[in-house]
Amino acid sequence: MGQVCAIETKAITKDNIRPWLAAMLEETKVIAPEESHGDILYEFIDSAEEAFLDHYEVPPWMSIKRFFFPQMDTILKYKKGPAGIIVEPAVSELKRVIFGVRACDHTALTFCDKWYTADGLKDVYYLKRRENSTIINLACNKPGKNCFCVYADSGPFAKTNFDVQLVDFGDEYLVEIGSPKGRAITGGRYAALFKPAPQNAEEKRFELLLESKGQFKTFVDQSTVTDKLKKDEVPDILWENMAKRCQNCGGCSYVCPCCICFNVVDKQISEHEGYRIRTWDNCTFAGYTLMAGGHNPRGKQKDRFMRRYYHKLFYEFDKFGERGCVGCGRCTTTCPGKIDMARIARSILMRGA
Amino acid sequence: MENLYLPKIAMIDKISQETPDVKMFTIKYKDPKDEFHYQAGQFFMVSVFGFGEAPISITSSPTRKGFVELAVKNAGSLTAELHKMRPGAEIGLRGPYGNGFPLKDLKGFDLLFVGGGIGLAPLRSLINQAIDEKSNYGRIMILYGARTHADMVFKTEVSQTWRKAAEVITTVDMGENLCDGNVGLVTTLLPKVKIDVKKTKTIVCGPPVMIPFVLSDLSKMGLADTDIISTLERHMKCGVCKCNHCNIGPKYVCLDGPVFTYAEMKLMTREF
Repeated sequence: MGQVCAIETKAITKDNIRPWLAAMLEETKVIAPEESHGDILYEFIDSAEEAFLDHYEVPPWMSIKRFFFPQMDTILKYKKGPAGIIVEPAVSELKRVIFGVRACDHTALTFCDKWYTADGLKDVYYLKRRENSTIINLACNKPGKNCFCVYADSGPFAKTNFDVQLVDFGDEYLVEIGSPKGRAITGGRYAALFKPAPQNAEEKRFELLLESKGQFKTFVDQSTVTDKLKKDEVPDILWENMAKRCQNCGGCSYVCPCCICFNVVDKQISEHEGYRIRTWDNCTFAGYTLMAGGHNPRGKQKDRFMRRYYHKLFYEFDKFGERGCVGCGRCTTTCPGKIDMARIARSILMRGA
Repeated sequence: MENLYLPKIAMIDKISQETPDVKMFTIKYKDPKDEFHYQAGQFFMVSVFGFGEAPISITSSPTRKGFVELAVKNAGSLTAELHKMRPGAEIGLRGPYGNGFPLKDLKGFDLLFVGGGIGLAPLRSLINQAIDEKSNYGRIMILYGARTHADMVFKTEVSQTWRKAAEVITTVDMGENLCDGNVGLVTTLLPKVKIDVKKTKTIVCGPPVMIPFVLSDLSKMGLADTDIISTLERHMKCGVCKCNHCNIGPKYVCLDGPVFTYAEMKLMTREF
């Protein structure tokens, strides 16, 4: 507890955050939380003033997933010419810093890293974006009402693998530097914006962490749920009843930082030219497993719905030792049928089987 | 870093009309330096540019080199477009992917193939390999069922070529069977072959409605679940275990399959 994998710690006053962002903007693209019609969203900012630095209820409405795995991503371009078809990959080389990332989304990235490198098969589109990104975490002193990262072991403070993590100390942030990338944006030309970490930093950090952990309102015992799925102890009727309330909207997977299913489609821009695009997909959509010819192995809503939870809590856990849920609670916020991860887990546990 | 999603350009060399809705495409890579290396039971992700990509099982035998054959049923938008193509047209290929048939486990055994409709396509790869390497195997038996006689694929091989090296029995669901007269589902052919269950491995492929019946009948005949092998198909978007579409329980058809034993299939969950 309280053990931090930082290679160096510093501090930065809150007044220096915008100058820091402005300095980074001179060198690279910057993504930060922005206020848009009452929602907090991560966006590319053009000036430091655009970043929303006040307190808001976490987590931001959409995760940072789309900056690594965009909702629509052109992966190839093809041209049909006199010499035949030429196919060119379209891999993003854009360097960027992402500011204000929460521990849940950050942990989700480590999960996605495993997925996109699994079986020795590396996804260049995802990994290039990962390589070109520096992430500045912002630890959560106050969890949101649907948050349960503390039970998914993914927050409220990031423990490892971060580039930089800021911990809110009131007038200033404790700056934990965890990687060479983190050093690069806190040292050199940026060094003057920072000062040494305060004397009692470690104790204060620990207090804040404990205080934050004490404020969670949503309890989800994922490991017992995983056990029950493994032992096949969840009766079909529970899935049937839950699935009836699924509206097939896809909201849960779009907001989920761990949902990595994709579809691939070709888009013709003329008879001779077009793109191959990968888009987000959702395993609860009826067309997800529909095959040419009409056979649909998961034609029933219940089977698709069930598969979503088996996949996240059982299959992925078996394969990677991590669940496809980091407890960000966004599906709770978004699901119109109230059949989100927290509620499903609670229903499974309350049956007591 | 290699780009998993970048297809190689290939060219349609020959096309044969197998049935009213199935064509067989003989394909060569455009760059003559590229060679085909595959195993029976594997598949390619086939790109028809402008229409997308789909997994298509390989129907040629790896013993016959320099080209690959794909038998494709006109069943969706991509395959419809493929059917409109002429020799010389260019497509994209990624792969081969998948585990393929377990040749090592089959060596020395009698092989009983049970195919339904276009499901004979992946089996043909192994059938021709087994015929070309006959000394590695015992008897080769082929049971093939199609909807009608017109729907039978690879007619020359089914009615003539294979009969020189294998025991072949066909059936049709309806109408007249000009091959050998049997009418009825493919399961009705099973009692017609006398097999030694200890010396036989069976390989099954057909439409989803057929597979569970054939597998359970074979099991009742006394074959061990590990000696009953099937190849499955699923909607797939990547072929490299990233898109998530082809899972059956914890297994992925693209990477863990498409070839599974009945024993493995029983562990997967309720659906296959």
